[in-house]
Amino acid sequence: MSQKLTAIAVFLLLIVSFGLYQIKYQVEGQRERLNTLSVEQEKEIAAIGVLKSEWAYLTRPQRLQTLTERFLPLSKIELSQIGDVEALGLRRLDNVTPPAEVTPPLPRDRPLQVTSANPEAAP
Amino acid sequence: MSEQTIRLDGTAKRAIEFSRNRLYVTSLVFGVCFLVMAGRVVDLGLSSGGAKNGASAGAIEAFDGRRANIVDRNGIVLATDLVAASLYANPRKVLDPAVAAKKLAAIFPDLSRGYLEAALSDPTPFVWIKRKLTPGQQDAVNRLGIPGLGFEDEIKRVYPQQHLLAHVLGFVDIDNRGRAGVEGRLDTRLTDPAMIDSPLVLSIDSRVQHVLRDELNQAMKKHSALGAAGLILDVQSGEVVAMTSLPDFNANHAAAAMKDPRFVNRATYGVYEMGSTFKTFTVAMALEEGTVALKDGYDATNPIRVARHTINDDHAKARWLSVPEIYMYSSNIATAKMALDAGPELQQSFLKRLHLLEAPEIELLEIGTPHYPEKWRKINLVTVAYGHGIAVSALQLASAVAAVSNDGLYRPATLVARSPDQPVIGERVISEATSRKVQALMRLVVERGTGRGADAEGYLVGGKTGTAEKIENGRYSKKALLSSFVGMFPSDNPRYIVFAMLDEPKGTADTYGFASGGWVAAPVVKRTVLRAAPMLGVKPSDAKSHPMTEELLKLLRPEVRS
Repeated sequence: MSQKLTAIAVFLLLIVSFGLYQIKYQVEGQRERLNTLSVEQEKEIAAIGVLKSEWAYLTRPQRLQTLTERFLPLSKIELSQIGDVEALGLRRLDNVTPPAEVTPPLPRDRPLQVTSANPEAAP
Repeated sequence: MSEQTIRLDGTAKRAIEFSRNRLYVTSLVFGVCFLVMAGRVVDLGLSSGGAKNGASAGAIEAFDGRRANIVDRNGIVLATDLVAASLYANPRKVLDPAVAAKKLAAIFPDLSRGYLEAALSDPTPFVWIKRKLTPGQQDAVNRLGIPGLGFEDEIKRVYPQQHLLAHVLGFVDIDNRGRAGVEGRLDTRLTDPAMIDSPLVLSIDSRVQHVLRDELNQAMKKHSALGAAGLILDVQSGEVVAMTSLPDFNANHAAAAMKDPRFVNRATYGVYEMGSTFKTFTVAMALEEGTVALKDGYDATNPIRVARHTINDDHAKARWLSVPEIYMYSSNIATAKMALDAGPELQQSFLKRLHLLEAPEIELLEIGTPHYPEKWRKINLVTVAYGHGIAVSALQLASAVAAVSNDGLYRPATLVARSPDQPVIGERVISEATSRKVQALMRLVVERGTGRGADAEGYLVGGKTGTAEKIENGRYSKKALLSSFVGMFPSDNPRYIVFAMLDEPKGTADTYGFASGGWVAAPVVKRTVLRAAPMLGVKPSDAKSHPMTEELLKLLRPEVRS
């Protein structure tokens, strides 16, 4: 009887130790992986920081202005080109032609004064 | 012999039973103990090991000297940390110091061969050669293949915008401690471990900053000025949208530059006699206190004498002038009389209300303290009225003009972006009614007065010119001027103050040799407003005048109405 018990106890001991060490090694493996990922994450964050600074440097206004003046045929914005989104009116969802009295905004040669409606207004 | 079963009886039986029970109890106790130990072993096996894997905490976290990023109000990076290698040597392992010194000197022109040779011959086991190299330098040193040299990673503070915000940002020393500007003033916040990962958002808009700097720079070059300063303030919140001081420098090489007196921060640290822009305060004070009304005026026919000093007008009209005319034509004589009616106590308390007599609070280290008369005598009263005998910084002037031209509330200037839910504090300095009059007067100056050069079409700019003679060798010099223009727009509902100042500008052919505020500073404001207004979200309007302009025009003499 006691021999059986001893045998069972020894058997249990072996099982439990085996299981225990398995778990332990698995946990350690996960922890290693976590550390590696943390290090890689830090490196990526640092790399992103470098890229962001490079971006800020390459898009700094003075540089863009110099390059624009050299390569792009852009003119300064005229006041007559600035308008209101509300002045455009809502888009019609049905295919009905708009009533005649709705005049779309026309290009102006004076700030915000419509040329076609009142030609006398342009001094 | 026959077998005899042994029967125990009585005491013997009890004795064996007793010992059997003892055996049971003991084995039970042992069993429990072993169970506990087994449980403990499992517990130990599963918990975190004794060794802390802290050394692999990451590339950057391991370093001291990390700082939070600084960004502008749109999130553009202004200051950030980068990992840079620092070069050290173990001189004991260096084979030939002379050859090594020669090779290194070729890579680092700022280190002399003698210094390098001495460092590499030193018997110590560790010496810094150069800290925080660029990747190019690191690569070059690596390729030399000199034994005994090594790299250690450190954090380097980098400013991608270079010149653009040099004075505002300041710089850090070799140990990444802030020494100037925002870096210095907000050092604690930037090195706070709890806030390192959230960037410090400034109120500055770098696009608008560039526009201001570009226009000021062009004007400074055109008029061969010693320096220039510019400010754009959000009138409704006190936020500084742009702050420039010229000449400036590359913020990445700041340390040497900031010791050079040419690179003083002319926007916040330099205090100057501002001249006629101060008339804004005199008029506001007189109107607010009721010592004069808009329809009233003073006689500017003859110069006046106060305590052995003669006060003249620059563009002498030599007649009686109404208040709008006084402000429009910038008459010293009439302004002096206006101040005399108000009195020194009133003037002093009014200027104090506008925070012109104390150093302002702002998130920089370089803040100048204003100079003003110790005793406020009659001559001081009179000169302060038109901006002499008192020296303030550009920031103070802009903030005070913002206060009298918005709705009469003073809002302290700040460089840190205001979060939308933050309440805006304001101290009332004048009534809304008076501030409306001041707005209309400032618009008049630009429409018809000395500030016509600042009239940006569609934006209803209002303002005041200032041309102050600087003091040289104890006397006012006609040649050394401090020409400025303080503008606000749109004048019927002011949103921004735009201030531009040139230090000792010279007249050019197209300014007919004049170097006054109206000729050199007002155009800077006009061009800045035209370029920056869309970025600031200000819509152009058809209005040509302030609602009160009609009323003011009636108070002008017939010859000036076109």
